[in-house]
Amino acid sequence: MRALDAADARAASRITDELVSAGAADEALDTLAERAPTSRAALEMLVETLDASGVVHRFVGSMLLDRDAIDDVAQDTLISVVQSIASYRGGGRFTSWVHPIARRRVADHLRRGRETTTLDERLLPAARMSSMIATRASVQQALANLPELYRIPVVLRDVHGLTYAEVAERTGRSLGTVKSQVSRGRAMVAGMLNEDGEPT
Amino acid sequence: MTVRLGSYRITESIGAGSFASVHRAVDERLNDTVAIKILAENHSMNPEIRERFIAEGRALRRVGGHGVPTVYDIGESDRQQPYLVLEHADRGSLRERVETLRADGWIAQPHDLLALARPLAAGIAEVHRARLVHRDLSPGNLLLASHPSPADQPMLGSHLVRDDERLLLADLGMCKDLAVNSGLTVAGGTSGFRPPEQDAPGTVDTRADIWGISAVLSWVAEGATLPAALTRVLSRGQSTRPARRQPDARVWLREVEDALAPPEPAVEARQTAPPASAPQRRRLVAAIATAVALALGFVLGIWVADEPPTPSDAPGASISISGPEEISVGEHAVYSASVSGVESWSWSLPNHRFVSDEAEVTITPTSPGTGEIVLRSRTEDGDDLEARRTVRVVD
Repeated sequence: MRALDAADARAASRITDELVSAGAADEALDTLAERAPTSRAALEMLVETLDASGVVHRFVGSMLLDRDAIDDVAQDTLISVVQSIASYRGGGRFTSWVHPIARRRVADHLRRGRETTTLDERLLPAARMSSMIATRASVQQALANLPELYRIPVVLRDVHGLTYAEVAERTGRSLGTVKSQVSRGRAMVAGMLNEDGEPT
Repeated sequence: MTVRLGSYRITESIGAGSFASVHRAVDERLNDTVAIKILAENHSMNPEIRERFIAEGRALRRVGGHGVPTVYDIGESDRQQPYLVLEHADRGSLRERVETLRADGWIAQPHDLLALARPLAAGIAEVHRARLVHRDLSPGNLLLASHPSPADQPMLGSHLVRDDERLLLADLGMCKDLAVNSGLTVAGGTSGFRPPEQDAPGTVDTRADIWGISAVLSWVAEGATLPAALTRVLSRGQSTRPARRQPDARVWLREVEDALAPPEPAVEARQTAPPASAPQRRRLVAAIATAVALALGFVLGIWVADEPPTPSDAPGASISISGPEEISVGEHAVYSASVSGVESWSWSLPNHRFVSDEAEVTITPTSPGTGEIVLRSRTEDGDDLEARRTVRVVD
């Protein structure tokens, strides 16, 4: 929790990995989720732990088969979770609360696949966040508050429009790491904004 | 309906359920016939139904083994319908088989029930080993596939599950993952083959399948004159309270085999079956031996209450018999004495002969049954020693 107070992203990331590998992810998520609506550090760590635990990928992967689709929908789910975290009331397992959110994002994805137009594309959480990060001045403030670990890949990807491969090359990180960091970074930015995309 | 699905060319529809349809198809890469089970288009948009469908493929893979259809592949159509590519069960379902046989006046014989009970129990044991409960066993989702019978399998000559066929437990769409869930589940299953605890939401465990295999065997046995013991085994398997059922498939099969093994049904089975092979005879004999052992234990138990049995060893002295436990009528069987610490001993043979101080004795039985060879001696301290060997004589 010291690392949480200091908002040290790297230390928090390390702790997160330890929690996950120790099999304590569920308990950690329950605790973090209760604090997340009021603590940005808790929210960031929640995003980290949720993503690192692989639980969102697992939920989505139980309903979809295509690897890329699973990655996309897992990212959408992560952002949706952050955006609706204020409505989390505790009680049961946090992951039980995440599951229906994942299911709704899967349903969105399937509907989109069925439609011939790309009209809905902009409404999907990840695409919408990416676009907001790129265009809105108000989002720049949130972006500036993002831990550097995530800010650099998000800015390269969403503001400068680089591909994931280019971001990986520029930062000297692996492609998988960059995808995950952009995903977590977008979710963290989402957590700093209200419904209208204004800073909270 | 598309005629192609990836590299699979669909040739014929072979079944349709409320959620999915099954088609025969040709895998053009490997030039083989496969079965493709594809989720209905409208249900493919429903994340929960997709989840269950995909879970079935993963469950089948997890079970592996001979008792479930092999999963070759999982894919998705361009209409977002997930599909499973499965081993093709070329001999149809158990329901079809029984209906065809019954149309010819067939009634299940004990060897038919054995031919079904064995792979059924083995298959469900495989499912349970993977920590899954099938929950939807019925004659319609037990499939038959041609398969050369492995050498160690007894030839039963049944027309129900033939010697060159494998029984496959299909349709794991209802199955429950015990490792993930608490066992709490929603109502479901095929009507008539659904254990009572599945009529309403509640707790379901592997004993639901004991109910299922008992119901299937009872259905197949309809119209047959069953040994009373088998009727008891099957009604135990269909007890309303799961705790009263057989605890697992192994125990269930043992009870079924014991109920079918005693002389009359076994003889009856051989009339219609080809000559029983050695493994079958061993199995039947083993079942009888179990009964004999139980009876012996019972007698022994009463006897023990009166006085302790004579030991086969004492400080510094011991005797024992070595030789076959099972011999055939007319066979010359040799039994030898292993003795230490004693100078003299005597043999008591089944034909009431007594032989003294011989290292070996030979017996030649003239009729089947059970006999006992006893070796007796006395130590220098005056303690009696006794070794016994029960011998089964078979035809």
